Amino acid sequence: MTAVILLACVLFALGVLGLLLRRNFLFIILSLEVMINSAAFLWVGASVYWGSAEGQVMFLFVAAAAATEMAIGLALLIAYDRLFKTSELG
Amino acid sequence: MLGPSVLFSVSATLAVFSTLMAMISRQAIHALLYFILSLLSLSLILFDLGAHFAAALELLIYAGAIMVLFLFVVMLLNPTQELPRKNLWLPGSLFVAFLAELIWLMPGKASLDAAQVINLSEVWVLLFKKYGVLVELSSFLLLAGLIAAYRIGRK
Repeated sequence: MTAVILLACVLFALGVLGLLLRRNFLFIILSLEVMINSAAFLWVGASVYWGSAEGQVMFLFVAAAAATEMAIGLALLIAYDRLFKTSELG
Repeated sequence: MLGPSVLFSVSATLAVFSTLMAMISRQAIHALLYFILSLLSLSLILFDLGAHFAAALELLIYAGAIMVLFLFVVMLLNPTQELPRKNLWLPGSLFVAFLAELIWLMPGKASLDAAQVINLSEVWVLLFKKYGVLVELSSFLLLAGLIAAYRIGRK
């Protein structure tokens, strides 16, 4: 279980790292995806630890929220690219 | 639960390393391919933990749907970009490690790190009996996302 928590934390930290390092719209969305994914992974880890299925139900809802967020984020990226002819921010 | 198995350790290393490569690689398409590899190894970890349903969902939703959406957007944004030729030993070796894990899993290995396997029916019963309202709400969320993406993406 310690390994699961450690892995989720490391993946989340990598997502934060990408969010701070990159100034590209696409990479920022990708970093958000990494962070959401690590949080969802921790849900499943907790579900396995407690032997209860509820964590996996929550994993499904997190995945649905992440899919919605990705769809809107990518639509924003396309709109941004159409407006400024680049996907670099700032 | 005992310490993590070999499958868990190798997959975790693979996931962390390919996520790191995804974060620092220069080309968007390379980052996406590295991230897909990271999702595949995370799915192997979920299988190893005994969460088979979550492992399948990770493949279907994340590696299947969301990453294909990303690839479409990348191809839409710069379709004629010439990618520089890179040396292939790093992604190649990551891929070979992943393939070795799959081949090692072939003869029907059980979920090694699982305290108990939580099967599909358990999750579904809970999902539609206890959390039925949340299922409806997330369908509202997906519909709202669809409408918003359509409105934003329109010219």
